[in-house]
Amino acid sequence: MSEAPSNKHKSPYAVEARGVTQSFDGKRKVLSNVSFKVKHGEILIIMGGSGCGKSTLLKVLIGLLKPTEGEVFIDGTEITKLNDRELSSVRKRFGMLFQYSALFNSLTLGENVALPILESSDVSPSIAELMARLKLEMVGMNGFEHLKPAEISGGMKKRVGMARGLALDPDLLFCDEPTSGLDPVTTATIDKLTLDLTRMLGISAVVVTHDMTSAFRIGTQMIYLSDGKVLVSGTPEEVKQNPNPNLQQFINGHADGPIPFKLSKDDWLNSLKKQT
Amino acid sequence: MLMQISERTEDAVSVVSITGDIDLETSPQLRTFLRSKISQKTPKLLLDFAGVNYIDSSGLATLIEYFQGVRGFEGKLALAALSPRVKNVFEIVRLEQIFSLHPDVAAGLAALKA
Repeated sequence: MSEAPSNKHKSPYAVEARGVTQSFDGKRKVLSNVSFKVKHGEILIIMGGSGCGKSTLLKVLIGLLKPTEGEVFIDGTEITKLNDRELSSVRKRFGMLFQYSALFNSLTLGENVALPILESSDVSPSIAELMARLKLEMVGMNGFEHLKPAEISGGMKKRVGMARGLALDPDLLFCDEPTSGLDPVTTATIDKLTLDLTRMLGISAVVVTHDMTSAFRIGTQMIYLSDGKVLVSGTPEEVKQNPNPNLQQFINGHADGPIPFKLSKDDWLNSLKKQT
Repeated sequence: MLMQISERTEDAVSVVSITGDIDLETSPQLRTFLRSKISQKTPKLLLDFAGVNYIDSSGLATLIEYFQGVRGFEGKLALAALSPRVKNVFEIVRLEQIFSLHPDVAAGLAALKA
């Protein structure tokens, strides 16, 4: 709701990842030495194909996963070694827009937005209700607060999800595939909301997406992940001009190119021969 | 930054200077103060925002609650000396259309006396 108070920033960077590596089962490496910095006020796009590690990276950034190696800083606070209580305090400083909005179906839209306010602060229910109305006004959903999630469209759910993400006046917003499953016009609307709100509120955003139209429309910085590594990074213009064939295949959505068509790990036919 | 509230009376208007950030941590203090003004049926209140660098939605909600609370006795509220950043926050949610915002305390006093 408010511009982030500049004198409250502890670091010039809203988010910083240093050498983040994530392995599962001690061998399956999903992220490998990922590093980047996001200045306050910037929108970082994390893009890459399905399975490239971008959702895992997002989980590491918001503290849901502890990386195998590396560090993550949220406005200068290193979060990978924090305990649950300390992490909870840091989480109040950022909001999250989930891929499927993750609204509680049993609650009204107003109650969904008010929930994090009531859970994380000492404000009275009447103030929380007013705050929720203000957030719904910000995303153009005032007047719908009494409805339940099942009664609204996917695009409206995204808006309400954004209102909830902004409920605690964060100065950083994480968005996981904010436009997936939306038609082009609704996608443009959500993009405009993201742009307008981050600019007007002076907040930063980290957006995970594989929607290229949306990525180039809202991003101020980009990283392209491939096989868990940062293959390309830079401004949207720099990324667009980068000749890396893997990146260009992804941006242009071509089936043929260095990105393998088949994801099978074993040569199935050879394995059949061995079995005979 | 902790919030400080000081009050004086000018031309039968209660002029309240606020210094500091108005956020989740401090807005309950402002709410307590404003609720006391409602209880006292303060007829004219001018909030001097010259010392406020930051207001969040809990601060706006607190002001809305006061705005609604004084309607019962036709109390008047004006706000003065909002920084561009703070004013921007009001404008994002169109609150500048219902709150009486003024560039300085003198203009706010003039409006309340009119």
